[in-house]
Amino acid sequence: MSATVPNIQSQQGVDASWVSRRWRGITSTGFSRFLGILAIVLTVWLVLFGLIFSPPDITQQSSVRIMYIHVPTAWVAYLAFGVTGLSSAMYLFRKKHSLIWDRFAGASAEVGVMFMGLTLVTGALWGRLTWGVYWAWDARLTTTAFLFVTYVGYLAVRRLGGSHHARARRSGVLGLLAVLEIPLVHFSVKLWRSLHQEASVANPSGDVKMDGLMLFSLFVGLIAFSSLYFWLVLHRQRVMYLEDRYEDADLDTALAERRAESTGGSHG
Amino acid sequence: MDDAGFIFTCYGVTLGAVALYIGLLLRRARRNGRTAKAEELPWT
Repeated sequence: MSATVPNIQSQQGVDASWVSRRWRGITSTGFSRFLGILAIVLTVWLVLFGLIFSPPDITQQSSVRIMYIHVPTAWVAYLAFGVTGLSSAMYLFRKKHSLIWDRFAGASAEVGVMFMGLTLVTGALWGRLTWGVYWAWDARLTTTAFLFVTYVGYLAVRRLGGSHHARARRSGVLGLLAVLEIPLVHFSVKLWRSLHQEASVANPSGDVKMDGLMLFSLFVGLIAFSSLYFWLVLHRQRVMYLEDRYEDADLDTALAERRAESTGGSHG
Repeated sequence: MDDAGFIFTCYGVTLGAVALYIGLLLRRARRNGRTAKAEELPWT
């Protein structure tokens, strides 16, 4: 099978509208463009509120500004892995076994891994400022690292090969099992003695002890990164569709070439 | 601002990583969407 640009290009010809779509974005629609603009505007807001408008904390001083990045990245990673689990269930348990669910699961896991990686990096920087160390084998940090590695493994399993449905079944089961780690990570600060603080906003008592502007900045971060997440997943699953389509076309071409060879061989 | 180096690194790494991911995504879309006709794409 050829690994280069497939022969289908010469057989079908490049679509005339491709040149114009190249600059508008092959995977774009009106809604995704709106979502993208919203994500960019909110991210600019987040930077302004996080670095300039929000006040320093009484005890943590300016290092609290890392919270506006760290907490939203963790939230989006949880959301992403939750969506992966849900999409995996939709693929496995619905009669139709539609591959769109598998692509949403894969896209969401990939974006989630990026955000989880960023949670670990920003958490290490914040830890160095508040605890004096980049890393400690603390319950929350260790379970978060474990969750990250699990989903890197999930992405590796998706690339093992086979048909699209074999990939979907294999990774679907893993996606359903891996999502069970999220409660373990979230409640690790309660289950074990931890350096990491408990939830400041999503606590059961509902008593939020945070300055209004700080809370608003955190809220902007959550909305900005959530919209970024939806935007990225929408595009990633469309790129996955194109990759699957490209792979199928390449396989068809390779099979046709092999058949032609064997037919030619039998005549010769 | 105290600890400006750590804070700017945090913002820079996060936004840089997201921008890099978007760049890679666009590249993959262009590479794989080259032969796709508009009417064949389910979202168009």
